[in-house]
Amino acid sequence: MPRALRSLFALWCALALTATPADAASPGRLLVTGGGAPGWTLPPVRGNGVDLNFATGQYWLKGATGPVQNSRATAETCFTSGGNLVQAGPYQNCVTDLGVGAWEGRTNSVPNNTSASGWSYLDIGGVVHSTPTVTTVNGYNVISTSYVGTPSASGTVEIVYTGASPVSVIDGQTWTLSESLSYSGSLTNISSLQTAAFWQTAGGTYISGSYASPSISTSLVRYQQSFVVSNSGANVASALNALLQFNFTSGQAVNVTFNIAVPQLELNPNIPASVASATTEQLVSSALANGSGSGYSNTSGTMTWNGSGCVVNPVLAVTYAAGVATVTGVNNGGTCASGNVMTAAAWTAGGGITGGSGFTATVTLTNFLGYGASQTGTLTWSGAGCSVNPVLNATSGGGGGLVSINSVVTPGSCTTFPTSAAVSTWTAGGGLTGSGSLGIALTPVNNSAQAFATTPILTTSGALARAPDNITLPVAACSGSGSLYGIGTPAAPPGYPQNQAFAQIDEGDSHNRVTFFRATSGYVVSNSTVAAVGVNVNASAAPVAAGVSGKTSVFATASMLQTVYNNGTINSGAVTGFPAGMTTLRIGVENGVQAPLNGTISRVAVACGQSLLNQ
Amino acid sequence: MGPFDYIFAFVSEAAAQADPVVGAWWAAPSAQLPGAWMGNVIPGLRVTVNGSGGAISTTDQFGAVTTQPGPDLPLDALWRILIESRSLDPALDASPAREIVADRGLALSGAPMSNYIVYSSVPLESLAEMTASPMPAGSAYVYGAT
Repeated sequence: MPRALRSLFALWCALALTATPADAASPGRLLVTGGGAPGWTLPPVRGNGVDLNFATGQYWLKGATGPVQNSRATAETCFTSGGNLVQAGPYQNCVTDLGVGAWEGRTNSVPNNTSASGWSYLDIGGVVHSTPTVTTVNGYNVISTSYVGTPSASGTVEIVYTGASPVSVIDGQTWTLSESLSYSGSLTNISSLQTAAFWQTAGGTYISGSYASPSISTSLVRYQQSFVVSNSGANVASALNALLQFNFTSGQAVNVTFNIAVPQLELNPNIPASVASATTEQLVSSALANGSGSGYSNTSGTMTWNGSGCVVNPVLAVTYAAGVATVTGVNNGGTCASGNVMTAAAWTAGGGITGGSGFTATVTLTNFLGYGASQTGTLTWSGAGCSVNPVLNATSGGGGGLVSINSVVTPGSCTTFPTSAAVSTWTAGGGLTGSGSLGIALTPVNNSAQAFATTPILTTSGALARAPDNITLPVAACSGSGSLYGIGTPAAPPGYPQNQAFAQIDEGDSHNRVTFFRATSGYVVSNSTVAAVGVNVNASAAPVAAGVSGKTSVFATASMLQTVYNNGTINSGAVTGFPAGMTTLRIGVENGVQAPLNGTISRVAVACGQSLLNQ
Repeated sequence: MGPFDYIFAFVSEAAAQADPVVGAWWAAPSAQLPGAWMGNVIPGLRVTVNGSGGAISTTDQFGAVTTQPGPDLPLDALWRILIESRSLDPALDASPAREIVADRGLALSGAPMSNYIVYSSVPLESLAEMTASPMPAGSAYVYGAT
């Protein structure tokens, strides 16, 4: 379609979507009149611009040059403000009165959360669970199971969502269990009701679990709990069960029905694995020696893990350029063939890797930072050089009271590990030794406090994955100055370690761009060009809590950038070139990486030539 | 019909990232962001052998014992990734790492596996004894029958 026709079509769509008596008198003016989002208002968009008010279904598309698209190829669900579950098909935006869903990719590992097929039941004392019934309430299936009678014994009753298909897990993973619950009848003589997830060995030995005690009512309410799977001594975590459990007491009659809807088990994919049972021994002995003594990049050499013990297996990932010689000499055999990344399961303490001719390796050490007791120790790099930058993946993440330790990822930064004044400075070719007699203090991250549930993924016969939302809208380029504006409600805790992209306007790729995203420090606006990377300005001065709706706006010219959060203090920074050439509005993308806000975005606007600060 | 779900197998995730075809879905780490698989992909896809987990006795925190299936065992040690494509893609089809191509639309319409499997490097009879997990939300692949 010719561009002029497209523009006319877009304008027609906008008028058709927004026409009200007031709008007819002042085309382009939008007033938020309802929905679940706060009643923020915007002034008329005077020049080219777009205003997508997902919460009210009003869209001003004068500056649009094409349709709104979402490349997510999977189905998605989202809740309305009234708790109804709405389903969107592949490539469709999931829109309710709360806004449009903008979620990262997740998998629901409960094989069936729309009926009780595959669930298992543990009864006690002769009170047998009823045949589960399924009713549709608020757009989703509710599975009801009744218990009527007088038990002849005391004990625990269980409804296991993963009964026929325990979920495979490994030590260090962070999971979130969520489900909607209510009851009918009476909770009399029902005690210790818990939503639970416990993990076990491959042989069925119980290791540990996560247990929460929600105060359920006769109305469906969604609950969530997050936890880190851990080994325990020689017991290696292998399978995870999700369930509802409660107790009967012998001789005390019960008459209750439990209603369960869309239980979901999600691995939090962006929270680095941690080691719950990491020991001081592991860290103290974590010395990586490079036999050739020539640093990280070697034409030949032997890398040997000098750990005297391996109570918790370290992850020693060895990657190397394609076509380079094989890695040999690992004494565990079999699994470290050329091209493999060494994993915890493959590594044996005291083993070694010998590179052939031309061997170049980048070594990644992980799992030094765990969720559990604080760790102390000394970590020493014995390589003589730093010609290829190492990646020492001991990130501290969020949370209070942590020692700040950064990964070393950029050339020339071999002297910046760690950044905390509490520990000594990393020097290329030297060692890293913590202050004091015990060395580096690695205070663990509470990964479970960073985790969260996303919107339900409906399953019937196996785990299903939802791809990340990636919403784009081509827009006419602004020239001279412009604003990017958005209102959204994030679902992740403030300490979530992944940046959560809110909106970005760019030139069709990830080069020249203005982005705002949620980080552990709050909302941040970033301006980058091909030549200059990353001018960041904080829109908010404090972390933004989950479930809190807020608006962020940025106004930029060719020489300055201003940003503000919720009509607070306007913060400024330098900028180079925005917004000339910016032709693509993206929702849920930061610098080409799909890491959405994780929540609902009720409104996004681009206004050329005008400031939307404090609107 | 489509869309199509491609499954590729590599010796490791690093090999997939370095692959000239599949590596296009990998965004390498930058100074600001960690590396990430992009778009409609399921990295680390598990392929297991149906019924291989046997039966295990599970004990909960109170000592109550139930018997349940154990998690099915992996087919092999390979690292797999699923990539969705709206249409058959010659570049993806030419990849030596390609294992399976399935027509999601056909499967949703109720077609049998013999119809919706566009390509498989293993016989359908063997495929019917395996499970790939997770699958894309909104898909409806049926395992266990050809």
